[in-house]
Amino acid sequence: MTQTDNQLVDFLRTFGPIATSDSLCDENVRQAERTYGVQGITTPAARLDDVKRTLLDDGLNVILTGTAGDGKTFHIRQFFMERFPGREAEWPGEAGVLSLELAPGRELRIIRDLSEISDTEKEAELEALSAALLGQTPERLYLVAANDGQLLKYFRDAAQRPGAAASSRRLQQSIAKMLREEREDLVGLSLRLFNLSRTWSEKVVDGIFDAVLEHPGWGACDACPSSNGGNPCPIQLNRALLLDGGDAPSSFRNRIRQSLRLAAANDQHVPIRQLLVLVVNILLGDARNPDRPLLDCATARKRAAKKEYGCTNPYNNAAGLNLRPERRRANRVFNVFELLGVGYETNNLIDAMLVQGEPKALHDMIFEQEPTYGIDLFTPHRKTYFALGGAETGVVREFRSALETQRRRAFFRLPEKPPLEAASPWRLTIFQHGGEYLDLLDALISKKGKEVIDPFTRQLVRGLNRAFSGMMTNDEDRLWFAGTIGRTDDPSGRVSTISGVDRVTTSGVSVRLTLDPVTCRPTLGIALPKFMSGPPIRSLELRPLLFEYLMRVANGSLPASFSRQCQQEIRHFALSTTSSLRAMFDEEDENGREAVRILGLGSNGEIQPSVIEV
Amino acid sequence: MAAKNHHLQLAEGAMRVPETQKMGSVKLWCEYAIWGLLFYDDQSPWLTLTECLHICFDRKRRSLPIFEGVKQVEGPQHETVAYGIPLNNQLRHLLFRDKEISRIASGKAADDKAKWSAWFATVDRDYEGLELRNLQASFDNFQAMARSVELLRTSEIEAFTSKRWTSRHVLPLGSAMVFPDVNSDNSLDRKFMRRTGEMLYLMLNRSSRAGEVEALLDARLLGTNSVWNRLAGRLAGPDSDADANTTIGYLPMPTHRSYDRLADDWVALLSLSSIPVENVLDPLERVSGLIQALYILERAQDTVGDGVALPPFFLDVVGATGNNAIRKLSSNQYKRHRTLPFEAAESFIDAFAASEEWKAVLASDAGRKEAADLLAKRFFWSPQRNPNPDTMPSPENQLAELRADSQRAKGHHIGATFHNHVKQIGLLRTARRAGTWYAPNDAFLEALVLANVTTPMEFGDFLDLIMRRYNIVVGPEETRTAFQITSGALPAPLADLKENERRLEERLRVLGFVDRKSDDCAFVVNPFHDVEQTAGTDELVHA
Repeated sequence: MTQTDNQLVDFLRTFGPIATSDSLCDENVRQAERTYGVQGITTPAARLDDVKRTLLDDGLNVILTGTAGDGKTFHIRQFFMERFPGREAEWPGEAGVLSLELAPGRELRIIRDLSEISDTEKEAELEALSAALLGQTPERLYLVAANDGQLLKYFRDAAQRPGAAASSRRLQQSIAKMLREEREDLVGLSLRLFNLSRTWSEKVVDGIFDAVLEHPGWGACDACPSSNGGNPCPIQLNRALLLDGGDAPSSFRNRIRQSLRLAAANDQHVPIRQLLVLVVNILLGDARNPDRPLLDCATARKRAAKKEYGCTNPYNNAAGLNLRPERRRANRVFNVFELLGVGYETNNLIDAMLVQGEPKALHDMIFEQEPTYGIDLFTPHRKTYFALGGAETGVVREFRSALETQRRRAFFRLPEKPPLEAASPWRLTIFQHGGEYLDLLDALISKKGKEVIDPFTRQLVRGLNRAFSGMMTNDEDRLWFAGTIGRTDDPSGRVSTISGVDRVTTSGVSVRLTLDPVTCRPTLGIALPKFMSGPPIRSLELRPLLFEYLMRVANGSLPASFSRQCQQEIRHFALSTTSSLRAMFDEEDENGREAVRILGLGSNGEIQPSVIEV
Repeated sequence: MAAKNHHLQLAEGAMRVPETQKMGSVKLWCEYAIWGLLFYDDQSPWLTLTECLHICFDRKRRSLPIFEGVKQVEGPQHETVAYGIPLNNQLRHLLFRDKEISRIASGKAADDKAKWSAWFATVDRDYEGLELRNLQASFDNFQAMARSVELLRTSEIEAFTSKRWTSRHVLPLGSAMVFPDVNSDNSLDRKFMRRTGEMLYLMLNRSSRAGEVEALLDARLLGTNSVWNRLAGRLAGPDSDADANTTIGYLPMPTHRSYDRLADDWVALLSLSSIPVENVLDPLERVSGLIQALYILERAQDTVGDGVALPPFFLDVVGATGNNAIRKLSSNQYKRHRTLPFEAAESFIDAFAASEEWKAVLASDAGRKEAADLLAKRFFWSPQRNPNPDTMPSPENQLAELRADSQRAKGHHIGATFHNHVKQIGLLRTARRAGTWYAPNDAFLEALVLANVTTPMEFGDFLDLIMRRYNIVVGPEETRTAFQITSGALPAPLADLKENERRLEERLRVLGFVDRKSDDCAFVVNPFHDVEQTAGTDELVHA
C-alpha cells in the first residue's frame, strides 16, 4: 500500500459483492470500521421510530421480518443502544434470548434472530411468545427478528404438534394472513409486524448512495497524482457519473432509482445491504479478472495509465457483468437489470443511431458528453467492424458485445422523455412501458393528474377488450367481459352474459384506476355508482408485467404471444367480476327475459353486441 | 325372474345386490363385486359427471329429494333409484346433426321467410319425418335462431371427439341441456354413458355431507334456470318429454372414505360463488375423476387387505426428457397402480376358495357338478361346456379357470377405466416410446387449487394437503412421508425432488395461483374464493 492509496476504497471493498461480504452482518461492519479507520457508513433504520412507539407507547409486541440484509438486526441493535445506553457490552450476548426490563414491571424479551436460537430455546419460548402475541401477558413484550418463512414455520410446527392448542392454529393463520396481505396489524393480536423488505423508498436509496458517494473520506483523493492531470481515475470517474451535477441530477442514478422502483412493484425487493453492494460495484467493479472483481487504488491507477476503461465501465458494473455468473446471481440486486433485459432489448432507431450515427440529433445527445465510456470506447469497435465486416466471427462477437454495452449506457443516460418516443430509455428494456407505469403510479399517488390517468384507463380497457374477445377492437369506452361458455383452453371468446361496463359514467358501474393502499400498485377495478353499495368486487392488480402485457396488447401485440400468466390473471378477473355483477344486477327485464350477447366488431372497431333475449 | 342376485358372492362389508339390478351383460361377477357395476373405461369423467347430473335433474323434476342416503332395514339396503332422461332429439339434431343452419344464415337470401323455407326444405329432404316448423314461432327471425344454435354449439363438451350425434353432449347446465346416450332407435344402449355416473351419484348419496351437496347443487345448478338452459329450452321440441328410463347400478360399500372426500370437493367447488357455475363443471369433473380413480385403488387395497400403505401418485412436474429419476419414479408408481386391481381380484377369489361352502364342494363326491352350480350362483360364471358332469373339469380346475378369467386384461375392465380416467382428467401422460407416467396438465392443477384452497395457504401446506387428501406427492418432504422413509435414501435424488417441487410452484404461478412473498415464503391462492369471506377471517382471532 502506497501513501496515495485511499483507505476508504479498501473499506468500501468490504461491502462489495465478494464472498466474504455474504456474511456481512452488523457486527462485521463495525469491525471493518475499526480496521480501516474511516467513518462508518450509516444506513437509515427506517422503522426505528415505529418500533419505539409500538413497544414503549402502544405496549404491543414487535416482529421484524424481511430477507437477509434488510437490517432486522440493525434495527434491534439501534433500539437496544438507544433504550439501554451504557450497556453496549451486553450486546449481542451469548444467549439467543435477551431479557431486559423495559419499564418497571414490564419485561422485554429480545430474540435477535429466530433462526439462530436452538430448538430447545424455541420450544421454551413458544408458550410465552404465543401468550404475549395473543395479548394475554401485557407485563411481557417481545421484540423478534425472523424472516417470513422461518416465522411461519415456527408457528406451523407449533400448530401441528399433537395436542397443540387451538390458539396455535389461530396464531399461525393470523400471521400467515398478515404476511400474505402485507398487513402490519390484525384485530385481536397484540402485535405489529414490520416487513423491512417493504420499507423500500427512494429516500432510502438516495440515503445510501449519498452515504457512499459523499463520504468525507473521498477528500483523501485530492492528494492522488491522478486527480491532477493525466488520465482520470476510473473510480472518481464512476463516482462523478453517479453524483448529481450542479444543475442536472445524475441521469444514471435516476434511472437506477426508477429501475429499483419498478422491480419493487414487481415484488422484486432489494434489501438495503444489496443497495450498498450495487453502489460499491458501480464504483469499483473491474471486469479484467473475475477473481478480483473490485478495483483498489493501485489497479485503478494501472487502468487509467493504460486507458483500460473497458474493464471499469460503470454501466456494465451496474448489471454485475464484472462478476462470475454464480456470484452475480447470488446478489439479487443485479437481477433487477437482468430482468429488464438491459443491453439485450433494443429497437431499430437506437441500433441505427449506434451503428450508423443516424439520426444525428439523437447520436449527439448520447455521445457528445462523457467520452470515456462512450465515443472513446465504442469508436474503435465500430471502425474494426466496418473495416472487416462480418467476415471474421470474432469481430462480430466483439462488436455485438460493444453494442450491448452502449445500449446499456444509453439506457442509463437517455432523457426520460426524448423528442422521439422510440428513443425512450424504456424501449431498451423488456418493460417498454416501464416509464409510463411509473408516471401512472405518480399520478395515482399524488391523487391529481386525471389527464395522466385517463389515457391509461383507455388503453387498458382496449387491451382488456382485445385480450378477452380475441378481436382487434378499438373499443376503449366500454369494457366487455367476453369469454366462452364454461372453461376452455383458449380463454378468449365472444360471449358475454353481462353488458359492457362503461369506462366513465355516473349512472352505473364504471371502470376505475386506483392505488391499492397495501401493495401501492395501480389497480383496475369496477366502481359502483354513488347511490349503490354492494359486496366488494375483486379488482385487477396491475404489476408492471401485467401493465406491460395490456399496453402491448392495446397497441397491437397478440394476447397469447406475451405471457400466459397475464392471460390467466385477467381470466380470473373476468370470471369473478362477471359473477359479482351478475349477482348484483338482476339481468332479467320485467318480462323475465334475460339477454345473452354475441360480440362482433362495428365499423369503427368498436364492440357491437348482438343480443339474444331468452 | 327368481331372486338370483341374492346369491352373488359379496366383498367383505358389501351390501346385497338388489333384485332390480339387471345382470344381462354380466359374464363374471368379480370386478363388479369389488368396485361396483360399473366403472366403465369408455365413459369419460366428463360423461360421468353428466350422467350423475342426469339423475339429479330427474329427481329435481319429479320433486324428489336429490339424495336420500342409504336405508337401514336390518343393515344398510342398496338404493333402487329409477330415473328417466328426456330424449330431447330436436335440440340434439339442431346442435349435432344439422349442417344447413349456418350456411343458410350466412347465405344470400335477404328475406327472413325465404331463409326459413330454404331450411325447412333441406330438413324435409334429408330427414324424413322430422318436423321443426315449431321453431319459427319461437324466434323473431331465422338469424336469431341460427345465432342461438351457434352459441349453444360452443358449449359442447369433448367437442374434439367424433362420436355419433346421439352420443354428443353439451355442458349439463340445466334440465333442457341433458341427453341420454341412445342409438338411432332411441333405445338406451349406453355406448359411452354406462353407469359410471350412477356410481358417482351413489358415492355422493352415501357421503356424510350429501345434504350440503344437495343444497349447493340446488342453489347453483338444479334450481336455477340459467340463460343457457332457457336458450336450450326454446330450441327444444315437443319430444323433449319422452324419457329413456333406467334403474341405477350397484355400488358395494355402504360407506367409504372416498365418498366423503368426494363430497368435500363438491362442497368446496360449488361454494365458489365468484366463479360462474359453467366454469365450475370442469374442475368438478376432474376432481370427481380423481376421487373415482383413488376409489379404485383404495378398494383394491382394502380387498387385498395386507395393510400396506397406498402407493402414492408421484407427479413428474419437471418434465425432463429421457430416462430420469423423477419420471422413472412416477412411471413405476403407475405400474404399481395397474397391478393392484389384479391382486384384488385374486384376493376376492382367494376369500371364496377359503370358504366353508367351497371346501364342502371339494370334499363332495359330486364336486364337479356342485362346483359348476356354485360358481354360477356366486360368480354368475357359466362357461360354455358339456352339461355332462363327468366331462367337467375338477372343481380346482374350474376355479383356476375362473381365476384366469378374472385376470384377463382385455376389453373393458377396471384397469382400463383407471388408466383412461387418470389420463382424461389430466393426471397421466402417455407418450410413444417414452412410456406412461403421472404428469399433471394445467386444467388438473387448476382443479386441485380450486377444490382445496380457500384463504391463501402456504405452498408447503398445500403440498401436505394434497398428499393427505389424494396421495399426490411432488416434493421431498411429502415423498419421505408417503413412501414411509424413516431412514435411508429417498426414492429419487433430493435435488431432483426439490426441483420437482420448484417447478410445481412455477407452474402454479404461471396459472395465477401463487403469490410469492420472499425467497422463503409463498402462498397458494384461490382467486375465486369469496372476497368477503377472506375479510371475515379476522373473526378467527376472537373465536
